[in-house]
Parts: sequence; structure tokens; C-alpha cells
Amino acid sequence: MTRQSFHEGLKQLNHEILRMASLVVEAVDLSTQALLTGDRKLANSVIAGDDDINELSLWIEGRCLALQARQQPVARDLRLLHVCLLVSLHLERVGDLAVNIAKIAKRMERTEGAEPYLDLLRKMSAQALEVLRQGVKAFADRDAELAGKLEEIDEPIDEMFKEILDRLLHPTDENRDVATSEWATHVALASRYIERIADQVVDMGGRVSFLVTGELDSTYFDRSEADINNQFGE
Amino acid sequence: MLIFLTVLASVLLILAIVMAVKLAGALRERARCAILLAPAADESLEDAIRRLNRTAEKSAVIPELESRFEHLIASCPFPVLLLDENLVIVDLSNQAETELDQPRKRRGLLEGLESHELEDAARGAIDTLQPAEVTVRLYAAGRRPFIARLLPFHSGRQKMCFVFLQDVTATVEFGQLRSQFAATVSHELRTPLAGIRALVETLQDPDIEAEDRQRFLSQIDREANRLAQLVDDILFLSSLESGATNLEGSTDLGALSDSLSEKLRPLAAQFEVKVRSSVPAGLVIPLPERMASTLLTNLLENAIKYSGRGSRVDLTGGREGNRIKLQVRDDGIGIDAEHLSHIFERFYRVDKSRSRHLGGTGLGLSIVKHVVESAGGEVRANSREGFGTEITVLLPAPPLSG
Repeated sequence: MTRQSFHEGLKQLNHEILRMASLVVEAVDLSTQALLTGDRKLANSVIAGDDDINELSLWIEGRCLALQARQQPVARDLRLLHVCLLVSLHLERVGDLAVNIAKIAKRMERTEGAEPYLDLLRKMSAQALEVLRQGVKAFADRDAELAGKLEEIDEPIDEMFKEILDRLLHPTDENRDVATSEWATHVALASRYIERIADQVVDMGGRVSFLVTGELDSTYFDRSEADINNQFGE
Repeated sequence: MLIFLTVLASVLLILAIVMAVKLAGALRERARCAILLAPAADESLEDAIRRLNRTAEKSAVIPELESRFEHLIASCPFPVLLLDENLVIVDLSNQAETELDQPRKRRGLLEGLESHELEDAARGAIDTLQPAEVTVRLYAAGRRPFIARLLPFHSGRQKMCFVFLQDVTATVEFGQLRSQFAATVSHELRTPLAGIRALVETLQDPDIEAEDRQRFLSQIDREANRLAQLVDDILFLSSLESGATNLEGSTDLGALSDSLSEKLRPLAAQFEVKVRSSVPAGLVIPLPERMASTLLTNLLENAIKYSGRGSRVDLTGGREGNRIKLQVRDDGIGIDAEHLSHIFERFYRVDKSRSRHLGGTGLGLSIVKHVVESAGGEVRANSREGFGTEITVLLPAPPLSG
């Protein structure tokens, strides 16, 4: 394989990751829509679509390994391959979380008085989708600054997650009838999954920062890993 | 020497002839390009592209083609992208830059618009040179739905593709609204029908007591009336919306409100509500009597049924400048702020079980709103839970005579 085809290989890898990201964004959007509307058909389409995401993830993993083994890249190219692999794993995980949400969407019954919870879930979903989109953009543009901002965009999601749990754990007179234990479990899990999606993307942002700067940020990774910096930085 | 000069002269002559022929050829090519590229007056963009596709196969490179397109694209009043055969955005309209989240020139389509579906469609269109159409949700445009029309062509150098994007949010939302409405209507119609069927089934039992028979019959009568009222209301609303209803005419509101309060007295007594009407005689509103009566009946019935036992309903009216103000106020249970903004929506019920039980169709206030707005007026609702509700209707006043 010549250098030319190595760069072609990287380009193709990058392209497939963006393609996977587009599928994952859609999966998150549709699964949360299904959760909010109770649309089982939509939920099923998300569950069925996860195979494509997993397949792409495997393809990307294989390609990363092959390029590393054959080309022995160094410095930025090595970081790129390493980060591509990790980003695809993060995205794959986000896809799985979307499937989890879709499964809850299928099981969760509609209940009167659920509106305040659904409202919070709606806001959380919209925000998580935004974090995800910006995360993908940071990767696509190799934008370390945007990657660094992801944590900030993620903050309201954590707040809303806490609020949902708080409401479920301390029911008032108004919502006491709503929170049957089964329903409450579904809502708690769904909000947890949405929150995890955003966390995965924030971690993904850490990988993007590393790609651009060559420095492993201690906010994202253990300090014990920090000495790897010197070996991989340019 | 002479021979040498002759040879030199002929060589120069030959060179000059060759140059002249070349120049003429180039000029001809330019002229041909200009003719090719100049759009005919009645030619659509799609036809122009088809024509260029045909000629591009025959002719060599058309150098001006792309710069011409650049102009055309930039000024398109909707989002347009021009892709090369590697699906890289070569050019885009100003509208694409403002409506979408930062697609940029020389970026891949997937990076720019974040849609794998659109990419697949564009790939197919370019490979086959067949136009295609696909509906996609663009996350790069706040997840709005778009119809993407893909128009591939051969520029002479390479295959390219136009992507025309049309925002179809309004159409999609309208479709959803329509199906939601259909679902609600059929649900509302089915409820009284289910009641009637159950009652009829019970009545078919030969051993039923005469007393029960009578009770069930009157219940069937009530459900059937409700069904008829519901169908009437739906038809009335749709005729209002289609503009087929005659809104010409005027009515003396004073006389009408007196007769209506009389007519509604039994209903008021049933709900233990006192109705007081103080509309001055001779107050004329610009609606035919049937409309005015529908408007007032719906307002009053609503107040009587939902204000609660022992409350008082006041109907007042008067002229305010060039408008007529009509108010129905009660001191009843009031409406929660959460519901207040929805009460003019069709089939919206503040308390679902209660209002069905009271025989409402859920369309009363929606009809009020439509009648008032068709007459060029407006309607507002004010309420405080526990203190009562006030519905205000403002209508344009007919010019004062004399």
C-alpha cells in the first residue's frame, strides 16, 4: 500500500465514521420521539436499525487495525487511527443506548399526569441530540475548542436527570398516583440512558481534543495515563 | 537569397493561415458556448440542464458552464447545492448558507448536511445520471423535513449534481394535524354510539322491567341527541372554515339575548345557575341572526354548564368606540392557567369525564372563536381558578346610522 492509498484509506475511514454518526443521530432522535409519543413502530425501526450501526462499527475497527498494522503510522496519523477507533466505539455505545430507550418506549404505558416528566424528557432529549451533533461536528472539523465546550452543553442534562429522579423519589400529592413503581422505573431508566448518551459524547470530545492537541486531558482520562502524552504527542 | 526569402515568406504565410484558422475556431467555440448557455426565455432550469447534458456529450469542455452556474446558484431563493462526482459541495446558494447549519464549499455532502440518506440518494443519482427525489429530516436545519430533488448532469469534465431543497415542515405538520383531528372526531363519534349500542343490547332482553325500559330509552334519546348535535357542530365548523357560510346581515343583540335567556332558563335551573342579561335594546352586531344566536347560545351554555352549582352568569354588551364588546362572566370554579390557552381548541376538555357527562360536544368555544373571527372580530378568555371566568368578544360595530 502506497502513501497515497494510505491517505485514501484515512479519508474513507473518516467518511464512514461520519456516516455512522449520521445513523446514530437519527437513532437517538427517533428513539426519544418514540419514547415521548409511544410510537411502537418508530421504536421498532430504531431497534432494527442498530444492526447497520454495529456493522459499520466493526468495519471501522477492522479498518483501523489494518491501517495501523500495514502502515505503522506515527504522530498525528497514529492518533487519528486511535481516535477513529475510540470515536466509533463511543458512537456504537450511543446507538445501543438509543435501542435501550426504544425498548422502554415499547413498554411504557401512557399515563395521565405524566406530562411534567415527559416535558423534562423532551427537553433532555433535545439537549442530548444537540450535544451529539456538536460532538460529531467537533470530530468532523477537528475542532478542539468545540470539543471542550461539550461538557458545558451537557450540564443542563445532568440537572434535568437529577430533577426527574428527585420528583420520582419524593412524589407530591399531585403526582402520587402517576408514579407507579413500574412506570417510575421506566422513566428513571429512560432519563438515565439519555444522560449516558450525552456523557459518551463528552468523552468522545476528549478524544477529539487529544487528536488535535496531542495532549491527553486529565479531565477525561486518569492521571496515570498522562505520561502517555510524551510518547504520542508531536 | 531570393529562394531563402521566398521560403521564409511562405512559412510565415502558412503560420499566419494556421493562426487565423485557430482563432476563428476558438471564436466559433466561444459563440457556440454562449448560445448553448443562454437560457431560452421559456426554458426551465431543469430543461436547460437536460439540454446541456445532451450537448455536453457531443461537445468538448464548456469552460464557462461552471462560472455561469455559480451566479445562478448563489441567487436561488431556496437552498441549492452543487456537488461534484465525489459528493463534495462545489457551490451553494446564499439561502443554503442561512437556512442550514454551516454547509461549506469544498466540504463533503455528509459533513455539510449530516444526512446519510441524502448522501445515498445523491450517490445513486450521480452514478446513474437519473434525477431523484427523497424526503429527509435535516439535523443541520433544526431537524426540519425537506424534500431534496437531485438533478445530476454531465458538465463535460465530470458528472455533477444539483440538490434542490424544499422545506416541507408546514405540509408535514398539516398532515399530522389532519390525522390527529380525524382520530379525535371518530373517537368523539364512537363514544355516544357505543353507549347506544350497549343500551339497545340490554333492551333486547325480553325480561326487562317496564320502568328500566323507559329509563334506557330516554338514555338512548339523550345519546342520539348528543350525536346529532356533534354532527351538526362539525358540519357547521367546516362550512364556516370553507367560507361557504353566509355572514351578511345584522342582528339586534338586545332582543336576541332576552329571548335566549328565556330559552336557557330550564338549563340554568337544572344546573342551579342564575343568568342575568343586560344588553341594551338596539345594540346591533354584524352577524345574521342564526350566527348571532349560535354564538350567544354557545357562550351562555358553556358558562352555565361549567361554572358550577350556585354560580351566577352575567351577559353584558355595549358599544366601545368602533367595536362592540360582548362579555359573559361567571363567578364559578374558573379555569386553570394551564388549560386556559387551549379552551378554544376543538375537542379540548378541561375535565374530560365531567364535560362528557354534561353532554358537551367539545366544540362550543371553537365555534364561538370561528364565528367571531369570520366576522372580523376577536375573542379572549380570562380566568382565575376559584374566582370565575370571563369571555370577551369584540366585534366590529356597524356604522352608526343618522
